[in-house]
Amino acid sequence: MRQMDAGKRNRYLWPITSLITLLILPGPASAATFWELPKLPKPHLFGDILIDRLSSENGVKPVFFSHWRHRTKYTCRVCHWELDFSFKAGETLMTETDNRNGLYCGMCHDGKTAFGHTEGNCQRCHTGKKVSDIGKFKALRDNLPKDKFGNGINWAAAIKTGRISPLYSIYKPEEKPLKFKKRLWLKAEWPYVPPAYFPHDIHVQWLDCGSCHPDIFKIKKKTTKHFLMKYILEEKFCGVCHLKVAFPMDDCKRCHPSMKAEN
Amino acid sequence: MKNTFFILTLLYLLICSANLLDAAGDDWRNDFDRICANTANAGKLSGTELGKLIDDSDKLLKVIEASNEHDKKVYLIRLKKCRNFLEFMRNVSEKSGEK
Repeated sequence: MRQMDAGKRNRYLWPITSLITLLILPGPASAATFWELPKLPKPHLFGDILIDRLSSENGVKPVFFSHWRHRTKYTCRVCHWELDFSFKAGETLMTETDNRNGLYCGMCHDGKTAFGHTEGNCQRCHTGKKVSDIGKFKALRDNLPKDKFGNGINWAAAIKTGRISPLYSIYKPEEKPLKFKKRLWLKAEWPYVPPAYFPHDIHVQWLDCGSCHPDIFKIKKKTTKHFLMKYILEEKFCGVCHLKVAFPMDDCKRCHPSMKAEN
Repeated sequence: MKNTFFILTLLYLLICSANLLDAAGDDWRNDFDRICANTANAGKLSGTELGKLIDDSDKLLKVIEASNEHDKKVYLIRLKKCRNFLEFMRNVSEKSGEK
């Protein structure tokens, strides 16, 4: 009798345990839905921002900036390192006078390289809304490697295959990206989530070492505690770029390549 | 005649001082380029070399701060970033030396 009870118990034990495990632990397949990811805009509007540090205060419409329009010609480094644009919209201490003196946007928007920062052109930037041209976007996207999220363009592949050759330095056009190939495997927050992969070589095509170190990544020891998803979703660490401009976090497998998720 | 000589001397002095100011401006830009160019090979530099570059950055920050050039704020931020990266690399190299 006792033996029969034990047998019955064992028969029901494993399905119950499995069910409890499934209910308690969110599997990797649900990672993208588990996290409250920001809603994605349409591909042609992904990476579009409005800059309104002083515009509204001075009675003009905020400035519209489209990342995809610019990144085919310039790497992130040019604006976010050489021209000193902060990674956070509206944080750059930029004024109209600075632009007219050839700083910030005025470095290229001088009437020679790109349309000038002159009276007739105010409305081209001070639109007050995100107005990326869908026709121009589609024409660009059709010629570039595809991706599932964000702009729907695999920018890393675009640069790797030579489909685009954005300028690495505006001051020294001959300057080439640093050859630094160190690839990191970062242990994930949860034991059943495979590690995240970080390739320096793909990032240095677009950025300077000083773009990330030490302001964004001040890492002294090997540790995972810094890179929790909740921090990334607060626009820290990888989230500085990989939420609104670089490929978004919806694409779990881009960072966790061993993940079996279908997202 | 005296007046002409005086005006010519004054003009000469003005031109000389303008050239000197230009040269000073170029000097800090050259130093800026030299320091920031080293961020690309910071991984190959010794702690002492990195320390020297950090000291040079600190000195140059004061020079740029004192200048009246319109683009100084852009260079100040960039130099601070270069300096901080060099310091970061020095810390990394010290840590790896401890292991």
